[in-house]
Amino acid sequence: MTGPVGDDELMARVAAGDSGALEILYARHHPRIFRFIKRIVRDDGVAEELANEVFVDAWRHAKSYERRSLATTWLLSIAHNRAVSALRKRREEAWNEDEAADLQDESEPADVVMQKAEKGRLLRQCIDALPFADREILDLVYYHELSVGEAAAVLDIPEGTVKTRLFTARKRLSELLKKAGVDRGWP
Amino acid sequence: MSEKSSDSDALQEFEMLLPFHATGRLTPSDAARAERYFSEHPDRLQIIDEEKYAVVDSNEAISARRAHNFARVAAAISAMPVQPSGRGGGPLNAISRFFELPSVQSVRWAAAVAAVLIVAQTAAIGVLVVTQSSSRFSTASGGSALREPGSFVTIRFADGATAAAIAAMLTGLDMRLVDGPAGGGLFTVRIGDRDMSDAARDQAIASLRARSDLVMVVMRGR
Repeated sequence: MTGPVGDDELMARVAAGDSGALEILYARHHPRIFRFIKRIVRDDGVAEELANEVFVDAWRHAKSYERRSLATTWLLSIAHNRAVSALRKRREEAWNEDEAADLQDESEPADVVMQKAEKGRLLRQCIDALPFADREILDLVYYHELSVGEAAAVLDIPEGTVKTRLFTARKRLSELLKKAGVDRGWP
Repeated sequence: MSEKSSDSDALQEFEMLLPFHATGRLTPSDAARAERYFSEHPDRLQIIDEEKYAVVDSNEAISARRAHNFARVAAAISAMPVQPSGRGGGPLNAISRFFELPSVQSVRWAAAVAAVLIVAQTAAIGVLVVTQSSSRFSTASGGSALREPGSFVTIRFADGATAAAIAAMLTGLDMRLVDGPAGGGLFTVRIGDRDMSDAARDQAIASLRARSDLVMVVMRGR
């Protein structure tokens, strides 16, 4: 039985100019790409534009796609560059001081906080308050389930930096949680 | 370097790898080391799991449906000065365009079969929606049966999943399709009663995700 066509073959078709193959790739990967960008730029409209541009870039540069990386990784890499470039244009700071301040303003004794929100919601709130680079590495590892090497390829950084960036992000998350009244006992 | 600081370094080295264990992306040897570590530090495993679920939930709370608009991409690439033929349209148009292009025969057939499979799969699962939703619930207006009270998730099935296999899986899990397909081949599945506990909901979602042979993505319903 012939199975569904794989991403590599679709990329080959895109490189040959088949917009139908691009459409299939779009259907397959757009939700993840959109979410990845949205988590960085935090704006639906901007994320929608950038996500579409990722697939336009994929069309334009399909011939440079190499099968040694997954199409997912390749698309995420384009998405990362697009999102970071957009952030720079908007001159957003890596650390969102306003949101961090808001979170700290809500800091109250642990029992009060825990009455207001269950731990999972607070955890998500703290993750969203992290600098975009921290959120990005957490997303790549936990949601997009990339390996160390794949995350390094997407971010164009050494594998060792992936590990330290992830570690730092998790430590910062613990610090935010602690300020909000939840001590995880780590680090 | 003292033995204590050496132990601390080793611990930190391990902590850097632990998140990759949660997603099964460690090498077998590192995974074995992590398993041993977790057996001695179960609290760390809980921290990792909580982080993973929170990150996944945060991502899946973002609806990509409204932003799904290939027509705009098609318009952009059609405006490019030097590109081969092939313009927008649905999967059926993609099939017809496909045969207009010169290509390697095997690749051509593989992609054509894929396009047909996607169309056929969507149609077949769509029939399941009608069957499963209308047999149990109908609205007074005769409209969509989507909002029977309950807890829902949005699912994208794996490309090779057949309607029969999906029906069997959902029956086994006491779930049913109630709506779809929406953009990107998304379907809505009722996983239980409206007042099901968070734990039961998590378990139901985990059961679906465990069927990675049939399920590509599961998103929590709103």
